[in-house]
Amino acid sequence: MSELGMFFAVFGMALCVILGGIGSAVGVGLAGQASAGVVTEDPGKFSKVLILQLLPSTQGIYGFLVAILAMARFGVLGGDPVTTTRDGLIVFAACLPAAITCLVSGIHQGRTAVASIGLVSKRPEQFTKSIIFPAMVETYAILGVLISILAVFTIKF
Amino acid sequence: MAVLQMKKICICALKKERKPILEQIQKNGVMQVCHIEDDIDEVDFAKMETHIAQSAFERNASEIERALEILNEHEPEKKGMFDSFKGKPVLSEEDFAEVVKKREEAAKVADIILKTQKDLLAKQTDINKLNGQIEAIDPWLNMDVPGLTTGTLRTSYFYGYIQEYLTQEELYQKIEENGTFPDASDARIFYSDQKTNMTCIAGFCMKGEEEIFEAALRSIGFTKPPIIMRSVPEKSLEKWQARLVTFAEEKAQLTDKIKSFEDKRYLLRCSADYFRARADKYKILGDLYQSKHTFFITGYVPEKFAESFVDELEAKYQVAISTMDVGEDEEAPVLLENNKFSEPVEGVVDSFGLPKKNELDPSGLMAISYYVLFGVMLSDAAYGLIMFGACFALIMAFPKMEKGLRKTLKMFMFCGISTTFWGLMFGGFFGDAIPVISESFFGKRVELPPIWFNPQDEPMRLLLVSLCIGLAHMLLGLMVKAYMLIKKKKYLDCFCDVGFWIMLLFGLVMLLASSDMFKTIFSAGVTVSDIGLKVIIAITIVGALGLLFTSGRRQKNWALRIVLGLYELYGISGWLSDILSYSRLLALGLATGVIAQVVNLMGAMPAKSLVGVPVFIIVFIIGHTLNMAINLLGAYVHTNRLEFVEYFGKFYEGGGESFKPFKLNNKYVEVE
Repeated sequence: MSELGMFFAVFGMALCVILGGIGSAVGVGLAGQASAGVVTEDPGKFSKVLILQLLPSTQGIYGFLVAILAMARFGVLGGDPVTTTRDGLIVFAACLPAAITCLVSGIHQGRTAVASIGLVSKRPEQFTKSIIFPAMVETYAILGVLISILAVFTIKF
Repeated sequence: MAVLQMKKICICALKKERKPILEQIQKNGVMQVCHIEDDIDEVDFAKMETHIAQSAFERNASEIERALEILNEHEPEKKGMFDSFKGKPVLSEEDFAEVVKKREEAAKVADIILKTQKDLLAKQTDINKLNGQIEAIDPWLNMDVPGLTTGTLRTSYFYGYIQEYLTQEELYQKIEENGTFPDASDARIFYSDQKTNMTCIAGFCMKGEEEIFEAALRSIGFTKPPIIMRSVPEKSLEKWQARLVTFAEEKAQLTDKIKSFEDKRYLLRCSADYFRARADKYKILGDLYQSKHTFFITGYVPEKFAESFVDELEAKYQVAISTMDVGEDEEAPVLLENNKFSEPVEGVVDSFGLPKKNELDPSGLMAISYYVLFGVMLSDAAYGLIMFGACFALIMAFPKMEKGLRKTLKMFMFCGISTTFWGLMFGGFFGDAIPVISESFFGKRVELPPIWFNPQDEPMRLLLVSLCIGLAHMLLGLMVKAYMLIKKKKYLDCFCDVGFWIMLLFGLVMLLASSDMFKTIFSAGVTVSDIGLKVIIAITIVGALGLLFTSGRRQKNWALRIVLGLYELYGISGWLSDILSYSRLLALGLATGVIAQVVNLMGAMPAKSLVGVPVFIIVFIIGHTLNMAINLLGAYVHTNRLEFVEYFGKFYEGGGESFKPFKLNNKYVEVE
């Protein structure tokens, strides 16, 4: 097999999961540390800070989502396998928007979540507003994922 | 769907009746007490000094609350899983009065509990100290001389330690290097430990030579022991251990003493609420203007309660009451009232900010869009049914549930219904559970066909649907703005700020939808005849020019007007990004479906083997619970975002003060 098509395609899918996963892991990790601090002081805020901690977890799921959809279409879980290197690189490129936006927005959403956790610890009644700030960051991951999904669905070789 | 109309109210009554009247107002709980008149004659009316009484009641309340906390620490109340849904116990007025007759006892009990807790903490400190001593005495246990020994008739005795690990030879060597021992003297190691780097030494010398001996020892870092031992260390240890046992017993007694008040919990709670209510009353009392024989109290009452409230007071007491409309330039406090369908989202509105004066309560229209957006994002019939079932069961099972919680649960119940609807539309029931289960375990694939279409087969179609929902949602916002302007009779503003925008947007959307590019991307679109196209272009241009020339109409300078108009036109980019923002409906909807499918796929992998069914059930339960939880959170967060940013951004500001009536703010019991 001299053609590397399948390799590049799977590499792209792998990157989606890996980078999205890293983004979420870092984000949830940061928020988790802040949450633990708040709960030390006031265990009653557990459910609120837990929700905030979980906000950056979506990027990992989005990466996973794109990877599964790509696997289902390009011959890993179903569909026709990619044959030429060129096609493989196209699939790889299609995976990139999701992979990279999820990495960066996951980390930054984590940081925003940390700030929001600080907000909730001082003013628990502002909980709904505190959720909105991290949710803003996620928009750009969603746009990246959207383009990847549309590309995966509509690419024709 | 409305902001309740408020009335200003002014009650003038006899001073001798002021306490019963205040209690009546507090019980009714429909009046927010505040000063609405400024021109008070300070000579005839003065305020009463109630600070002392108020703070006494407050202290009582907070002491009892603290005592309750301590009691709960030592004797936690047994709590069921659903206790937080139960709400406060309800008491009749007479029962409550009967209980709080014993409020003095409650205050005493609280006092005893607080004192006992203080003793308990002191005892714990003693125990910690003793434990420290017991630990520190360990190295000295080999010494079989009483700790207070200073020597015999002719000799002097020293003991202590060096922070270093040494053998006997090393010790001698070290002393030789640093100084000299007197002739008839010696220092012996009786304990050394490598881990703690500690060497304990006992030394003796002839009387009169202590100085030289001690100097020699000190030169190698000899220090006196850190603890005081009076008798032989081993004996001291025994004594301390015995004391520790006594301390522990005493501590247990103190704890038992606190625990013994367990049956007073109810009395304490009622009394805390009683004292809190008294403190609130005195706070109001201190703010009242009083003359020699009269006093008056002012505030806001919602119009719908005003009449019965006034009637009740007039029937019971000698009062003169006048009610007035709230003036044009005054900000009245805000209370929302909605029907059962839109009431649940009031909490969401409240968390963004209540409507300001002359603003419309957005709850009504928001409720519909809230449920729809949530449903599209979660879009799984089974998850929706679970949400609906769980919320419905909780609401039915606990009728006394706290109001805010009840609203939230109701909101999720409606969201559940919508989720079920959209799940059926898109053919999701635990993802593709029905086909997978029927194929893997019953050998025959049964499909659950979507009523509308399957988003995974036609993602572009769902994208188009999402964007259309978004457009409709935001136009709804624009319509509300128009409605508000018309209500204020600002017809010109309505035409310029809303009319031109709608013309422009309509034209642009139609142009886009009839373009070839749109048709190739979405394989859908509209076909317009040539004349129609010209009309559309004309409408678009009129809209754009209208905005360009009228949005700066308040400026006299024409150049500035045009600049402001250009800025308004630039708002098109805002509309574009807002509409694209609704593409999250697609992303979140697909995420639920695809992950649910992955769960089913993993569960069904060992379907043909012996463990097939149990493995499937375990994977199914865990996987779908997680997927539902995370996607529910996502749907909730992003629905809020779309409402707050995209929808409210079109017409709503918020920032009203909420209505805070003078009422019984009970923490533990509800009195009816």
